[in-house]
Amino acid sequence: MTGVDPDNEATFCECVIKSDLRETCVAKQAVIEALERCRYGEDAVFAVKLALEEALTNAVKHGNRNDAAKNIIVRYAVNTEKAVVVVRDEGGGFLPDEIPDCTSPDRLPLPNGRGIMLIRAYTDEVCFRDHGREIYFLKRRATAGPTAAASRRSTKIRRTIYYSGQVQGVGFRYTTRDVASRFRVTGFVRNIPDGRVELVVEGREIELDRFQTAVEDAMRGAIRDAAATDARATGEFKKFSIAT
Amino acid sequence: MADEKPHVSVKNSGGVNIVEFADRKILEELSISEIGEELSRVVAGMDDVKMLLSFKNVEHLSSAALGMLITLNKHVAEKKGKLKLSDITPQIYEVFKITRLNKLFSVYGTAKEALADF
Repeated sequence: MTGVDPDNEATFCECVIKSDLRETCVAKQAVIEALERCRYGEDAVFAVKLALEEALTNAVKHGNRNDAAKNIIVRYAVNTEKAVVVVRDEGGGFLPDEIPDCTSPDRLPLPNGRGIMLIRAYTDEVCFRDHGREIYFLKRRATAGPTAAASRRSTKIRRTIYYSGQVQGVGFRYTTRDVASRFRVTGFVRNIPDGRVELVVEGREIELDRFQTAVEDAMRGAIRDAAATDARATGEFKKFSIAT
Repeated sequence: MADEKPHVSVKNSGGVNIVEFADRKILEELSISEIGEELSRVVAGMDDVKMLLSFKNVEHLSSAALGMLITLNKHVAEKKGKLKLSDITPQIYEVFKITRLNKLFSVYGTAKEALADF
């Protein structure tokens, strides 16, 4: 491994594979082994694995369009600080800016179009080169990526949400209390003087997400905006109630 | 492919088909399309579709797997059935959150909680 430098692409290891999804495991294995040799943590390995999987799938399917005569070149370098991977295909390229937002309400139900978003979310730097035929991504060993936040999420969190709109005098607090009785959450809901409703709730994140969705479904017509922030749970509440 | 080991195991509990994945990684397009076909067959064989996907063995997935789940969700919705997800590790739940698919799917902490809500 001596001489491999993530800052100097001339030193990168190279792996050439055919445009066949069965072949991509060779390249994945090589990169994962390099990460493991440098003792990258579980979250960093998860992140690189996911980004590489998405980049290879894009190269096979969208870049080379499954053409077995075309190759994919994976170049990579890993040291104790960062990992860089470059995936190149032999297709016609694309314009990365024209990839639509897969989280918009009209695109959310569509089964595809999430790969590049995940690569961006799980790495520290991404760039497309040569008109999209080549993707470069960098993962720093030390960064707290989205998955580092995830490891905290198995514990309870406190979510504070401010609802604005026609939210007072419409039964918001009573509805919220009724909804809360169906979930494993504690906390309170109250009207605040500026006309908004304050909802403070503690529980596991998955439970809070479902609770929040249920409240917002029940009060859909009343809510104009919801501003939520998450923090560590305090455990101060025994139940969920309406506060004054 | 018919002779190969199935990618999912299905057991019925009180009218709900509980599906567990045999693979720890739901990544590769090839196995994902096979998983999708196996699950579609399960859905096609049910009149009143109630399906719980347990992710307890799953350590990794990809956008192609998310696409397969979305397509499955659509099939279940077409039959006016219910699809719920449970036992998702925090790392994988993060993938659902980033893509906002935690809003599209009914996600529960444990299979027990999900079963109580069918």
